[in-house]
Amino acid sequence: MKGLVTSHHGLRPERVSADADVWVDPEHLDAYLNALSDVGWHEREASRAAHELIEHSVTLIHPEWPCDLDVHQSFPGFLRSREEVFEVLWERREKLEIAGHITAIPDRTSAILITALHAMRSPHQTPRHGAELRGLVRDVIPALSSESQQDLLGLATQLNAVDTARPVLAHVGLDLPAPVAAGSDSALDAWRQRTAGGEGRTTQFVLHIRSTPWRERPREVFRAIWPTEADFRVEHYTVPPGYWHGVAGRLKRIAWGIRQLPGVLRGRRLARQGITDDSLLHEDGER
Amino acid sequence: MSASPAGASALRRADGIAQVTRDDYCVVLNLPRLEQQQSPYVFDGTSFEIWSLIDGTRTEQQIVDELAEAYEAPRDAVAADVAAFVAQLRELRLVEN
Repeated sequence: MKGLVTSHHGLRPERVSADADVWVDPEHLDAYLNALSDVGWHEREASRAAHELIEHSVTLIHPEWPCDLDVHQSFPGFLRSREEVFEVLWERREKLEIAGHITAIPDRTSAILITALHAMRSPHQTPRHGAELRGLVRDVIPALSSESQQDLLGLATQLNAVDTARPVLAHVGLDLPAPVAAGSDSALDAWRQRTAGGEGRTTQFVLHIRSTPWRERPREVFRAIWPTEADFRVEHYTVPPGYWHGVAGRLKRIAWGIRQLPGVLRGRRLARQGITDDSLLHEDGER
Repeated sequence: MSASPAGASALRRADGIAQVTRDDYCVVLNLPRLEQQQSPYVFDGTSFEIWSLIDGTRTEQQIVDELAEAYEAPRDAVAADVAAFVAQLRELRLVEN
C-alpha cells in the first residue's frame, strides 16, 4: 500500500524499500498473522513503549528475509473507524502485477491521501517525507483534473480526513469546509498535536498518558521517563552492555526528551487553536 | 509449437511462483511451496542466464546449445552446468517439463 504503490501511481520516484506495507481487513487480521506465522514470520521484538504507542500496525520479520513486513489494520489520519476505512478503500482498489501476481492496491486518489497522511504523521522520521509532501503539492495536486480533485476531496470527507490532511487538500483548488474546532474531536486534536509536535516520541508519550485512566497515569509517566533496562535496550541496542551504561543511556534519553518539550508545547498550542500544522510544506521546514 | 527434439519437452517454470527480474539477476519465490521453501532464491551469473532461457519453449538441450554458442564455450562443460542447475530446480519444483 505504500512503496511500490506510491511509485506506480507516480507519487514518488521508484526506490528500494526496507519493508513492505500491507493493509489487512481488520476482521481477518488474526487469520492473516497466523498464516504468516506458519511460513516463518514473527513479530519483531518491540519495547513496551512501541507496543503502547503503535496500534495501527504490526511489524513482522523472517530470519531469512532482508525486509520487514508492516501489517496495517488501520492508518493514522483517517479518523473514520478502521473497518469503514478499509471497506471504502477496498471498494476503490485497483490491480497491479507484482512479481508475476495480481495484487490489490489502493487507487491513485487513495494513494495520494495515504502518502500525505504518512508524511505528515512522521515529519521528522526522514527528510524524504517533507520532500514527498512538497512533491504532492507542487506536482501531483495541480495536475489533477477537476474530477480527480473532487474525488480526492470526496474521499477525504468520506474517511474523515479533511482536517488531518488539510495542508495538502488546501492546494486542491476547491473550497474546503471550515476547520473543525479544537475540542470537537479528540482524535483530531491528538493528530494536530502530534504532527506539530516535533521529532521524537515525547509528544506521543504525552498523548498516550493523557489517554490513560487517572489511576494509571503515575505508572505510565514513570515508565515513559524511566523504562526498565531490558526494555530500554530493545530499542537502544548499540548501548554497550553493563548496568552503568544502561543508566547513562536512559539519562541521555531523558535529556533528549526534555529538548523536545518546545515542540510538544507548540503542538499543544496549535491543537488548541484548531490548526493542522503545514510547516512541512515549506522547504526550510520553518515551524 | 517449439521445435523440440523428439522425446524432449520444453522446460517451463512452475505455476504460481513469484519472481522479480532485474537486468542481471532475478529473485524467485516458490509461493506454492512456501511452507517448505520460506525464503526467495537469487539467481545471478550463470544461473540467471539459464533461468532466463527456461520459458516454456526451449528444451534443456536447446538451452545448452544457445549458451554454448553465445559464450563460445565447450558444449560439454555448458551441458554439465545446465544439467546440474536444472536438476536443482527440479528438486525444488521450480521447473517442470
